[in-house]
Amino acid sequence: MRFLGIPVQFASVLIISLLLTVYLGAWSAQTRVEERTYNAVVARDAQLLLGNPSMTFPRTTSANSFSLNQEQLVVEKEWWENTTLFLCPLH
Amino acid sequence: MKIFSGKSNNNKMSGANRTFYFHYAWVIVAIIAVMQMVGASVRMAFGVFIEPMSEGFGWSHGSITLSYAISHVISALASPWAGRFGDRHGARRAMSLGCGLFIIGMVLTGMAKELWHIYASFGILIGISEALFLVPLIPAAMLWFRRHLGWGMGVLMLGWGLGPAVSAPLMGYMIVRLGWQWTFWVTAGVSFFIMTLMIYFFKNKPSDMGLIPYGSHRDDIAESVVNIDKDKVRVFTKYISKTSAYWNMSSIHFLGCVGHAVILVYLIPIALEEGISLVMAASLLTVMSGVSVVTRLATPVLADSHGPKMVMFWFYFIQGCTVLMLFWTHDIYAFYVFAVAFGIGYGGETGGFPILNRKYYGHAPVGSAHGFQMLGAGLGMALGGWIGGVLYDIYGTYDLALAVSVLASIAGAISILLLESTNKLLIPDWETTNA
Repeated sequence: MRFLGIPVQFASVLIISLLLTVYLGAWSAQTRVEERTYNAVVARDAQLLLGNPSMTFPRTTSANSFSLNQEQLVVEKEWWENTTLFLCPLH
Repeated sequence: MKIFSGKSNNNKMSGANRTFYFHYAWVIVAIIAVMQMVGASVRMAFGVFIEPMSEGFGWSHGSITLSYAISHVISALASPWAGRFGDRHGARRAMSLGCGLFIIGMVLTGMAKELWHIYASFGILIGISEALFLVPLIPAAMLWFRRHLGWGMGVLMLGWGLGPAVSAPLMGYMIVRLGWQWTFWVTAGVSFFIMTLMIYFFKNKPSDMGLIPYGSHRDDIAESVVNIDKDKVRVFTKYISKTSAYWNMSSIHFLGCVGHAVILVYLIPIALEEGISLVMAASLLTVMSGVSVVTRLATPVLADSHGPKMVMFWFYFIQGCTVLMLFWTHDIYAFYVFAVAFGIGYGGETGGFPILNRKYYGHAPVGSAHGFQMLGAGLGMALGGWIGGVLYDIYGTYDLALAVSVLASIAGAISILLLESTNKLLIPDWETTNA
């Protein structure tokens, strides 16, 4: 049995492997970008805190809640992070 | 022009009815085994370098193993080219070019200060050199065997097991004593000496020495391969790509390599996480490779005599099932039990492919088929080597990578069962239908 002239067995392995590679690549890219963003937020907050010790922040420092303050920060992405995030519809 | 010559050479027939007798084919097998052993051993022992590089530069596991993945991707992509290079210029020139690239790549890797240096030197240069060692040399060895190819390939595959068995602890020791940079440089120097010696004694085909292939009988001298006609190679390449086996053998090799690449690269980091020392962890690769030596020798022989499909199925199945042990392995003795069990399956993963090629395509030129299978193998090694690092960086555990390894090996085993029967040639009349 063939699909576009290629045996289905081969095509299945090819397609599943490509999907897995793109999905995991995008997952890894997203994790790295989030980690860098979180670090950048913490660094920025630390800088602000040093300049104004009486200042308080309405957020905790857990990894899941940094998004409260991150919208003003843009971290640079590497080429492969951009590519996999562009290719993967789930990330 | 004919691929198969009608030359007779009756005075060189002594011993042809026996399985073993002295013939320069065995010297060729030994040379190729040593070349591949030296050339592939550094990459097969790559797990030893992960922690020292990570500690030295602060690079993540995923970033370091990306160089391993790049190396395999480049090898895979260069495989079809390497096959054509071997056909056009001969395996000896392929070996010489591969040796040059390998030495330069090793020296530059030892000088690396940035990640991209490793990607360029280890990933690209050593990747291309590996393609030149792996692809043209197997069809070159096949030219030297008319019969008993299983034994020839088995002895050749021994080198693939002995390489990492020797190199992993040696490099682990050198890293501790000299640092990882000097480990690359010292290995480059020793490899240059060994490879130059091997290239000097290598001959492309039996006729270069006035010999006929090993195991030739009086009545099949007319089919002894003495010359490769490029037009015939092109015709056969056209036919071979229309067979399902051509495609499926590549995807099966891909799955098998994903299955063991995860283990080859991440077994040492997994053992280190359990508190085992680097030298002891490296010895696991030695045990695994040592055991695989036996099945590397046995697989082509068994495949030749009992049929390659069932033999390959069982080795793929063993390779997959034994990885499940790692989910419950925590002490060094359990790791050694795993290394022995996994080594059996891992050693048998590769050896059946040359026999499958011979069963499906006879004595036709199979360089392009072998190149395409190595393309699948290389991409499998790359994916397996990369995926563990990525999953570890995300989850902080290798469990998912191990699951991928199990699934890939079992899928490969099932795919083998779905291959065509090996009882008859797939394209027996390719020479006459479009000569």
